Amino acid sequence: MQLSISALPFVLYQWRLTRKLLGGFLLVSACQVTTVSSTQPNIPLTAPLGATSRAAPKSIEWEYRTGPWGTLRLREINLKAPAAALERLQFTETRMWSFGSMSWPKIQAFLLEANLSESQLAELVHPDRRLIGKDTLINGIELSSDLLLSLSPQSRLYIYNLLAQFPENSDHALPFVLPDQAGDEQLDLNPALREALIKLSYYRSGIRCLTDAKLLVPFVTDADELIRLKRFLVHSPSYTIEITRESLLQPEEFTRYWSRNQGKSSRNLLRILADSPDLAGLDLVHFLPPVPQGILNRFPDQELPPSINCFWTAFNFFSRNPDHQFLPLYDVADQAAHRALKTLETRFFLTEAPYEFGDVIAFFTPQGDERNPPELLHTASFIADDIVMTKNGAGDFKPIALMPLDHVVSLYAYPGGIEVRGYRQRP
Amino acid sequence: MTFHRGISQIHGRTLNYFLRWAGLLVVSSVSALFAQSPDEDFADTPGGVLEYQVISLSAPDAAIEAYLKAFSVRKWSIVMKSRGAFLGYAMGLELRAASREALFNPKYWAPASDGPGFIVTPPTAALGALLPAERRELYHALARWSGNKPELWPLVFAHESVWHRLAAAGIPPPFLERARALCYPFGGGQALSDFSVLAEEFPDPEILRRFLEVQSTVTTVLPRLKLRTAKSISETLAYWTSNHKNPFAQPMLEALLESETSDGVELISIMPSSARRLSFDIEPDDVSHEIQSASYIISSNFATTPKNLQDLDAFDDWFGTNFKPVETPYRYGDVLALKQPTGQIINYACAFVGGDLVFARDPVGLGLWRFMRLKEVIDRNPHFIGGAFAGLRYQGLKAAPPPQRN
Repeated sequence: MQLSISALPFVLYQWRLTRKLLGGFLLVSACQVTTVSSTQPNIPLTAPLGATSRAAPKSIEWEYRTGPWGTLRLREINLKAPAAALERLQFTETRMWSFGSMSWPKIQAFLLEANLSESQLAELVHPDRRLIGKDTLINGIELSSDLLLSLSPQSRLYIYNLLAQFPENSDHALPFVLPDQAGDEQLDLNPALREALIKLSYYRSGIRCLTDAKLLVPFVTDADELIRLKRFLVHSPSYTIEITRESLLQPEEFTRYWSRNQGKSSRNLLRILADSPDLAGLDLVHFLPPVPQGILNRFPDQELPPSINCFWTAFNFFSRNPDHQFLPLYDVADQAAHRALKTLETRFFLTEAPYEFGDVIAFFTPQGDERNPPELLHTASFIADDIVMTKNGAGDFKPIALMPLDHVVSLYAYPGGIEVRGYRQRP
Repeated sequence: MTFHRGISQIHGRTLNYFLRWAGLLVVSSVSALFAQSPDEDFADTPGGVLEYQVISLSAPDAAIEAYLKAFSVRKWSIVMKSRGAFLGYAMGLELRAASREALFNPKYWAPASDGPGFIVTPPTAALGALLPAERRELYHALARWSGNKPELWPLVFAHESVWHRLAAAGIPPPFLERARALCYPFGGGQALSDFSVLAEEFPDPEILRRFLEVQSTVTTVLPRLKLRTAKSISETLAYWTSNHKNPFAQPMLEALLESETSDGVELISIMPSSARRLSFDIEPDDVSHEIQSASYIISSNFATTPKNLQDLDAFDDWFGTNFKPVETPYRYGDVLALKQPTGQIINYACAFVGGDLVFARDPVGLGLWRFMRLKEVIDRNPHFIGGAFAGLRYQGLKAAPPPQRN
């Protein structure tokens, strides 16, 4: 994205949401990514029919979770974004820092505390580097790539935590979240690119973050490597889940738990298990309402609204006819968030864990003051145990996936953490 | 479902493309098409082995309720210019004079309020007095109009075991005796179109619900895909994406190829949205609405992204432009269209999956959308007897030709 400081107030807020979870996920190690690369031949997505041999697949064990939902068996999978979607993904320009309406003396005083070298500080406070908002009072600094690359992790964290307070710096508030650095050696990326990745990453509350992804692009050697880099940054774990026949041991609890799905009778599904002795389990997709049934574990494509986001996904969970008010109109995502918040306030009530099937799990920025009320960042749908169905940001490179709630929380490396609340639809 | 609007009005126009092509198609019998024995519990496909698990399932409560509501009173739709024209047509049917007089008395006729033709409300007593041969004859004739759903898609008793199940489920013997008497034979089984007679003679909704539930129970297959058996990744991806024409399942397939358990994955997890939503289910609206065109619309979703289901005329044009006849071997996403030997009564299609497996709406009264073996489809409906399936393959994205104006 090409941005001028005058455009900063108008930085597409959607990127804050779109990009908030672009990061890789902590729960999947870089080791796994490398294993993927080594076990599966690198076949173009449009590969013609051929005799490419299969390597032995990775052996994955089922996990089992029992509760009022019956017994789930889960298997982790790694959903890879389509190459076409990754090609469309553009990294945001982060060489312009907005300090909002902070005065220059205050900015300089702040930078003096940032543990910068003399040369770094000299460049940052040089008048030629200053940017001034055109229509509104915004002070900013334009940096060189070299300076941005040279920041120490400590300085970067200190500065980025402040920048995160200003809405123009969306990627500083919600950076990519990466697997731990230990796995970088095994990434299928050239050494210079790996080194730049290490230089630019920093830890916020123990979570490895990356804000300046665009600065990595000059280190990329070819289009394939760029796709690999993007895939690493946005890769999406999910689960396939089956409801096993052990669920028959608690038929009443089971039937009650899934009965919030009005469309399909959980009694009927339980009867299939009861009457089919050879059947180990049924895929979760049978137990979901029509909207999540259709979109689970897939990327937005021609069939789904291209701007499908977390709000649309969570608030239409039980809908017979999806309500499109939760999509960002004219690409203005904060309006979608505003409509989602209004809907939570008017049609839902707050509820505590244990959550129930279809509850909306809402992610807010920390409690501020009257001038800075908590901001709704994300919503997901509770499925069972600790699993939510989540569309982590807008964009067709992020799927509608099943993830543990804690892992989704860890993807929001917002300074000061985030607040998670559960909501249930009013009867 | 969004495509019901207007379906009852189109009576087969959508799929007249198929009829147009029918003479050109190589139509094969089921046994000739698929070397696989129906007794085998797996199918080998270019995308891996499908292992069939035997399951038992029955219609959802909401569908049973919808059936009870829709078909407890009998109405016939007769789309002819006059009652006289119909009577002339009915003269060719093997009906006793008394039956003719009792059923087609003018006092039961009224002009249709939402289109051409008439609505007939036949008296229950006269329906109940028909002989099995008369029922078969008359109901076959009435099935030419898509509004006559109990005649087009009767309740089917494929095996004697269904009656045993009904008895074991506590359905009173007099009820079962009457139900048997109201059946008419076809193929190796029996069909029942006169649920309305049962509803009037045995007005206990609980018994009627229980009867429908047990009657709708089928033993069928649930396929699991064993990707470990796939010969190549490229071939597997190409197969399940209809040669990359409908690639939505590709990320899921790639993920499964990387990390597969030995017991595979339920096939439904890589199926299109419509198949996922419909599997094991029938929408309450589907119970009383026509589903002939829906069978084509749903089937076409396997090879390409869904079209605007509300605009049936546009679908008609699009389908005719983009799906062309193809000979065996079929591949995933081909639409298999029913061709009957003696005049088309039902326009019906299913989606070819692999081996002898299709995704289809079980073509009976309370039939669910599900995976079926092709031979089972042919054997299920009285109007399918002697029929065969012909393949139509998606050719790629093409706009429909502009409408010709006179």
